[in-house]
Amino acid sequence: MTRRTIRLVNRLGLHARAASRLVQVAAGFESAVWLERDGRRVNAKSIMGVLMLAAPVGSELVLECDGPDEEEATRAVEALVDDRFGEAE
Amino acid sequence: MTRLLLVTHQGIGETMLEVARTIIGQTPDVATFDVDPDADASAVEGRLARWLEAHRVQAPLLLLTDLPGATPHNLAVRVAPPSVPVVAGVNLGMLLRAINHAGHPPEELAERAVAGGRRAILRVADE
Repeated sequence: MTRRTIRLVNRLGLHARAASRLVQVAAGFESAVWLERDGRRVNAKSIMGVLMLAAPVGSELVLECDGPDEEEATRAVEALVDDRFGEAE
Repeated sequence: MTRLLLVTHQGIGETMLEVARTIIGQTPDVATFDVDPDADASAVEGRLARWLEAHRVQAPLLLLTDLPGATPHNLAVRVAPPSVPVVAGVNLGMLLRAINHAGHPPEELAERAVAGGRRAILRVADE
């Protein structure tokens, strides 16, 4: 199992399009992918779950991946967040 | 893959679908049918039945309506065969969840859609 803290750097935080992209990336892996913020833990493959985090820019989330491709899943989600979900700012 | 059919009051289905497209960044397998409550109900029912049948021969279907008891919903329930489940009260949470889980067969997808829709309704509490 991997467990990392990630920080949202895109201006809009985990808004709907960003959440959808994160879910699409997470769903591409066999491993279970979880996100946690302020004690709330959600399935990162569920768009409603990710949206429920209501995480703005600057938020710190705990990313937990567990399964055969957990390292790849962790890297992919981290890369997406670092890339600001492909957004300009 | 289950195809989603939105049967709603005028413009709601298409607008929700457009928002869903924007959010997920792709075009899901969803079709929409507008019902004008002031139109001749029997004519609309015939048109809706033919539209639904045209989709039914192409894919398994799940039908989503906006308001239980309203004309679009009532017509949808009347024309839907037993193999096509109907879920009322579509909201964006329900639609997004149904799109993301469209790989499931209609009955299972109906349950997932209901769960997604319910999850998107909440009283915002003070943090």
